[in-house]
Amino acid sequence: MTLTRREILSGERGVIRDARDPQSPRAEAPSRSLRILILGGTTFLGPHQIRYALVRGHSVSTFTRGRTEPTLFPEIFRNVEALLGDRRDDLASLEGREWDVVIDNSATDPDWVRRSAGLLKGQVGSYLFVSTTGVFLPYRTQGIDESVEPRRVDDPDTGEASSYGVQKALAEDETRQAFPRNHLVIRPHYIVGEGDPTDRFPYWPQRIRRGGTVLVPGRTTDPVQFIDVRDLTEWMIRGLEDGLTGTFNAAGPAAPLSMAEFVYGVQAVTGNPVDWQWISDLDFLDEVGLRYSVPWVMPRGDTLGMSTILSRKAMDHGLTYRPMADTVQTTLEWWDSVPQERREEARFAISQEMEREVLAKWTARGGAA
Amino acid sequence: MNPSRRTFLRASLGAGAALSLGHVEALKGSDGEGGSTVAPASRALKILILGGTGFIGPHQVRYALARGHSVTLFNRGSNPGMFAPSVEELVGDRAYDLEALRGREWDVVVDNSATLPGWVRDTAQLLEGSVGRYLFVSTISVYARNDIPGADETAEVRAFDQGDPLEVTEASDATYGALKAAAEREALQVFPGRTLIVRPGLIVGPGDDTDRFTYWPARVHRGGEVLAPGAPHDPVQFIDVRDLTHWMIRLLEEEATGTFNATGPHYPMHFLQMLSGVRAVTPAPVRFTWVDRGFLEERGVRPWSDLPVWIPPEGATAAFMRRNISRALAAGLTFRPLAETARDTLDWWLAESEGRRTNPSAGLSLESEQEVLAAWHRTRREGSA
Repeated sequence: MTLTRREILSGERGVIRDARDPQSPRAEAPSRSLRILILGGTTFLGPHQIRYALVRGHSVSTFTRGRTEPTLFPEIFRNVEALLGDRRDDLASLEGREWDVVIDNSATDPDWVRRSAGLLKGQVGSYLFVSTTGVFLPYRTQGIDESVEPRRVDDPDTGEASSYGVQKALAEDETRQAFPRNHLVIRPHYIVGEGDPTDRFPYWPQRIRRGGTVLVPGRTTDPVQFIDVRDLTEWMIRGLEDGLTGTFNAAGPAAPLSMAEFVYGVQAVTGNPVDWQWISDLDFLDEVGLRYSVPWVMPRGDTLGMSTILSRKAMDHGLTYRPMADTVQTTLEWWDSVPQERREEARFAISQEMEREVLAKWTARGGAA
Repeated sequence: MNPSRRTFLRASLGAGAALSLGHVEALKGSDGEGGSTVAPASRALKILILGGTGFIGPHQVRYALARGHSVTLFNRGSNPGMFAPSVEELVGDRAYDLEALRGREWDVVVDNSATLPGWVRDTAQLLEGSVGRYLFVSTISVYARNDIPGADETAEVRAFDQGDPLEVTEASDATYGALKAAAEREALQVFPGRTLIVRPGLIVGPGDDTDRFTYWPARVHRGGEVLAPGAPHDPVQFIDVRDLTHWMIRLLEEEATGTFNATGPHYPMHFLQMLSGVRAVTPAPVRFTWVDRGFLEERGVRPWSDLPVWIPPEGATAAFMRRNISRALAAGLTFRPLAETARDTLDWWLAESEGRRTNPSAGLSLESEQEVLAAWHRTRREGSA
């Protein structure tokens, strides 16, 4: 069976596993080969971007401090040019070089972007800045799309602008200023999947697979969002191939997903019995300090709209989503392959002790049906 | 309402007949097992399968062959050569021509195809001296009551109240369960201590010609607003055809006897969990709208046929989806994850011909579903105004 590119990308035949796997010969080659420079990115996003880019016939240079030995897809780095330097004060290795596009994965400081974008604006065609939906913090409204302006200051009185979200918003501005036409600003939601350096998302697949009484915070209908690292990075590369520009939110899945659909979808993959203990009393959860367990985030206060970010614009420009079961399965397989120490010392938002204590407290209080 | 397998087997005949070859071809190469290897059994059995080319038969055959058994099929020969040359095919008719079975020996017989007690009596009597054990594939529809949660195999079965069941020559929707119960008794009588009776619930998966479970993966994959029936916590039970048939073959290897309910999964599942699992295997943008039972009833939308798999947990069917399966679990029945069942069913369905897919045997049409949803939203708006 052959799939057309349209079928592959649109997910019309989406249940066919690995249809968009970059290793698959069915992933059609782009019309022209790009020279891609990646700033940072040896940990999570980078290896996925590089792998996909190489399979699609592009060439890749990375620019890093050279301090992190890649552990995700280490073999692909043999085919990558490694440039050394420092975003803060040493961009010498980028001077006098040309690339078609640059991907900036690593800037958390607008100053870094100003330097690199300023240096590269004569040498590269377009600049992809990887931002975050965190620019919308505090998420005080539902359904945030790109027309909502992020804050550029934390405290208008003092001019304080040091928070992560504000720094990323200011970095976006630097990108737009240096590349007024050819900027691509992408704001991912929680990025999940193979190589995730955080212990956020793997919690649910491994916890549900362990079975027993599982504490689930929130109401069954609370919305959750995340994006599979492959969906995100493959779209980024295709976007660069297509000359995509502008600013895009990138959250998944394509339609609202409830916490119930999420945890039951995970159970559909693990296939084991679970004794579900939902705690929907947000005040109680607040009191015991359980305000998030990715992808669930308490839908009120400063995180009210965090899980209802709109990505219509990105979808209209080629972002597609794998089935959730694929993300969960891949995450589990990868999690089982990480060193045992990491798994044993995982910093989950809900530790086993916390789960026990919260459940006991909830029961003592009389619980709720 | 008395949902039965029979109802939908009959309903699907018209559409299915012309297309059955294509569906057989699709099944031939794969049962969605992704090339996983099966270990051979410690002792090879000679297995006779009565029927064998319908929905569950091909899954039994493939697994039995993979386990190193030899397989003979006995049927009317309408799908010849499905497994050639690995399987011996005998042609005859359950109703009047069993000649081909005479003078032959097998370790076990698997009776997939009997809906009439007389058929079972005749084949069982003929094979009694030449076959070791008799597996009769019955149905969960044998039970007299469907309103006792957790009822096990000791629950009362339906009585046939229209004369001598052995004289019946045609089953109807109304008599299906009672006749299967009477057929079980015939097997037990002829093969005392050597009978294995399996009573499956709703059987689902690749090759299902009833389109019941299939409706959900197919519908969800189309995306948009999907009518979800009743309440999210309405219980649901079904069994993947591969889990069922592989377990049957293993039971035969173990020389098991007795009567077993066979449905799943091994934990209480509700409709929201089922739909969430189905949603998880497709990238389609989906929104479920739960429409309550009373409203569906008013609009003439029927459970099971219009909204397949769903049986409202009320009244006489309060526990239709809450059968006890402890006995089967203790006897080694295992379940693959729902995501696998849903994905393989969808893969299979999408590979079916367009003609087949545009005329499914069960489930609302997209148009009817959208009409019901529109009416539901209107009612809700008026109600809240």
